[in-house]
Amino acid sequence: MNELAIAQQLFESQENLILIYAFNATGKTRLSVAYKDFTKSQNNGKHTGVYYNAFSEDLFVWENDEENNNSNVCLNILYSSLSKYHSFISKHDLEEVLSIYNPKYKFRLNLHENLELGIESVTFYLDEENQIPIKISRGEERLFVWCFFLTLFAVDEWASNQDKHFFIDDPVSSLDEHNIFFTAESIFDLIEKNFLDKKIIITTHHIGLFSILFDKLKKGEKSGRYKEDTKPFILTLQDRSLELNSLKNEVFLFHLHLIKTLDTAIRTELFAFHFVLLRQLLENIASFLGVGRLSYVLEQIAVENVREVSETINALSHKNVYRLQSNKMAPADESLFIEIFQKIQNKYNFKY
Amino acid sequence: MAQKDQQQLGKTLWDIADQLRGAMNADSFRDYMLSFIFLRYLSDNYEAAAQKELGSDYPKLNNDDKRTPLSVWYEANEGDIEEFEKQMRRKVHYIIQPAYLWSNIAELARIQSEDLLVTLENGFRYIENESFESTFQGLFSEINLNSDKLGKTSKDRNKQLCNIITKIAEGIAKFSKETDVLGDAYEYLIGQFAAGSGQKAGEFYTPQQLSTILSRIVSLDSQEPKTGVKGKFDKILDFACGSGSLLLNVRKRIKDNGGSVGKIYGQEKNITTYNLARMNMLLHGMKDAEFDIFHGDTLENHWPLLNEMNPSKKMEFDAIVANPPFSLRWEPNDVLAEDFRFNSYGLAPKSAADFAFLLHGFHYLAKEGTMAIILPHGVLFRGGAEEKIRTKLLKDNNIDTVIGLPSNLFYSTGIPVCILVLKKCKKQDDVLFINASEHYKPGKRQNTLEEDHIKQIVETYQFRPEQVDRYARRVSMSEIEQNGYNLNISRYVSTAVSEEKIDIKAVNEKIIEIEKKAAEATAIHNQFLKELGLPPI
Repeated sequence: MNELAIAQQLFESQENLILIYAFNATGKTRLSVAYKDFTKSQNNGKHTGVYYNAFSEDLFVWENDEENNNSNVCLNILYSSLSKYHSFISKHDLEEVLSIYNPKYKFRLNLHENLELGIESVTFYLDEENQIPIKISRGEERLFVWCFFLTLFAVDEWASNQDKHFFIDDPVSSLDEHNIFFTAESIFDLIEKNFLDKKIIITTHHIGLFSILFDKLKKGEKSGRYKEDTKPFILTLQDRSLELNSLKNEVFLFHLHLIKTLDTAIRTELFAFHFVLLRQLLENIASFLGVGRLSYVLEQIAVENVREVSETINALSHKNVYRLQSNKMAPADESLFIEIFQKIQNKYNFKY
Repeated sequence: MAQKDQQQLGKTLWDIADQLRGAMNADSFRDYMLSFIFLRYLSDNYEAAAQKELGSDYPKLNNDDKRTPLSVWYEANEGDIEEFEKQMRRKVHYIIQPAYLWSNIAELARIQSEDLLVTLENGFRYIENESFESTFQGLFSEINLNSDKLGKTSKDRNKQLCNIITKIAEGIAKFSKETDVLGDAYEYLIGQFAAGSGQKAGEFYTPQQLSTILSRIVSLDSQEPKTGVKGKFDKILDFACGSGSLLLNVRKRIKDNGGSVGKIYGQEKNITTYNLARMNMLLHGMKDAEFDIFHGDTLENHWPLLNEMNPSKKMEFDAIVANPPFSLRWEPNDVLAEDFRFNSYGLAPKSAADFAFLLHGFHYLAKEGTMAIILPHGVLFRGGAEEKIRTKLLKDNNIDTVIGLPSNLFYSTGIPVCILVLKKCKKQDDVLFINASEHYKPGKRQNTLEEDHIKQIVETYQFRPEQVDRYARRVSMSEIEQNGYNLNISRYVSTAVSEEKIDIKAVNEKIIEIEKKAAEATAIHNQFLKELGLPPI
């Protein structure tokens, strides 16, 4: 299939919530462009939805102000068709959206001298009194841009003329494991507010983000409202041809990928959200073995206290209030995590 | 009354606030403090009038006698109380029982009486329900004397109140009891609290300088501003009145210039602020019949007074001012789309209620009236629903003047704002643009407008010159039409200094001259190189 055919398939799908896990370098961004082109062609060349993708990020360019010894470092915002909506955004709105990430910095929105041109740049600083400009990390910058767009999504003058869909292509970079839960939270919030009125398509290469959203929409406490309206897909590139398969058919490939991700995480750094992936892996194995419950797998791999362990896994992967806690996995949980993972490998010896 | 005194009183009060608030957040402390000042004002005013009324019968007490003279009189003249109170109602429009007078409350506080809390509570209820002809229900509803913030037990609370009241009593004792001093000190405090708590409390606070500009503009004759302040104003409205200072400011401006004001009307959604406004009115010596402040939502039009269906009874105002919350999110719906305020214009977008506020006010503007409203710049140039509303207002020739102001004038936001002046009927069919964005006194956190800046804006509006270089211009409707009814000020009045004119011929001659010299120099240089046996350049 080519991008256009996939775009058409997504466009025609009944479900309003589409979640796509895409392996690296499959061309997610091209898919979002294809979706844009396809929907526009259905609407006399006019936009019908709004997008967040690599092009959105490209509108924000870091300015090091080398000429003046970095004294005026800031994040420039290039002029685009979106600039005319900037005047609807207040600093206060943006701060509220950003607050889920609990940023260490404060910021100031610098308007163009000609106010019609919107916001020209953003200056970051630590101390309110002197407002000395600072550089923020690449990760912080990404999150800021994402929040900027979330704020823009709330501007109905923009989204009401282009109200058919949100197409969100990966708001997180791989650098950003720390904030994965918050990002999932922010997307979930967006879904909650909008899914009744418009199609929301989310593509990501981040297996953690994908799993958390999938879990929340299909299995979480509030999933009742969304379950029937959610369709998860896997996007792969095979012999230069894109394949879009519903998650069910692609379970095997997906779970090998899960194992690989978990293995890497154990070798490097474990975060709380990895429990979501572990649970997903256990569930996938369980359904492969023809049973519905993950405790069966725990028995098979000879975990002691199966009931207690499966409750722990559920609790750790269902926690909703991560804000007040560290994103890092607690040491005690870490050893449990590693034990289970090794027992899975001892028993099934997956090749990945 | 010397301005120095007012400032000093304001500062004294602020210092007390600073000392005492410690355990309490600024917002709640503000409410206690302002209520006490209010009580002190009512009491002083009342006692002065009572003294005048009773003349030589007003008891003279020894210095060490801490009772209030009025309580002594009440005890001795039980039979005359009714007649006295009737008289007082006529003279000062309210009465206060001697026990609830500030001097008694302050004395209870000084001796740390256990009765303070109960007396104060009863006093507040009494003022709300019985003092005035019209009731001021809920005036102190936000003042919870039994709040944990004051102390855990009622004994602790009593003690804390004794402490606060004693401090305030001492602090203000030495100042004059003149009306304006306390009233202005009250507003000074509101301003200080707004500055201190920034965004949140700053919401309802219009900087004094902007308030002055609006007041001066709307008090001028609507049709012929250059003739000066209009003589008679029946009704004045602020539909997002906050603590009411803008209304008071307009009223003062008109009165100071020999005009008369019938009644002022204000609407406020926030209950605490609404109470502040009512107190503020009384503190400035307004009689309860001279103002009407309503608590309710403006966009939903909760005020029955403004919902009169009978056209002959429709409320119309000679002057309307407002500084509504900027780009408020609201919930436009089908019912509102049919609302008489909006139906011929369309609804403001969900993301920004700015035009909904504007249209609300405009609906009630009298034919000969002037409305001045502070809004963010976005309303001047944004597309969509706002463009439609703007275009209609322009085609109907309702927009008189657009004034662009510098950024950072507000505590709550740094964005630059503008003032729109609207009229139902106006003489000229052009729009006056004033670009005052670069005329201000810079400050570290806040920019301010000084008297000269204010004067320049108001006089430009008043005399409406064709053009003031880099500052103002009267723009014809056809030019605005050519700009797609976009009112972005910089399209019409640029503040940029125009570049120096370049005489191309002169520059050309200069270049030829330079090139000639360069050729000569090269020739000489090559001559030397040749003599040295080197290749020429």
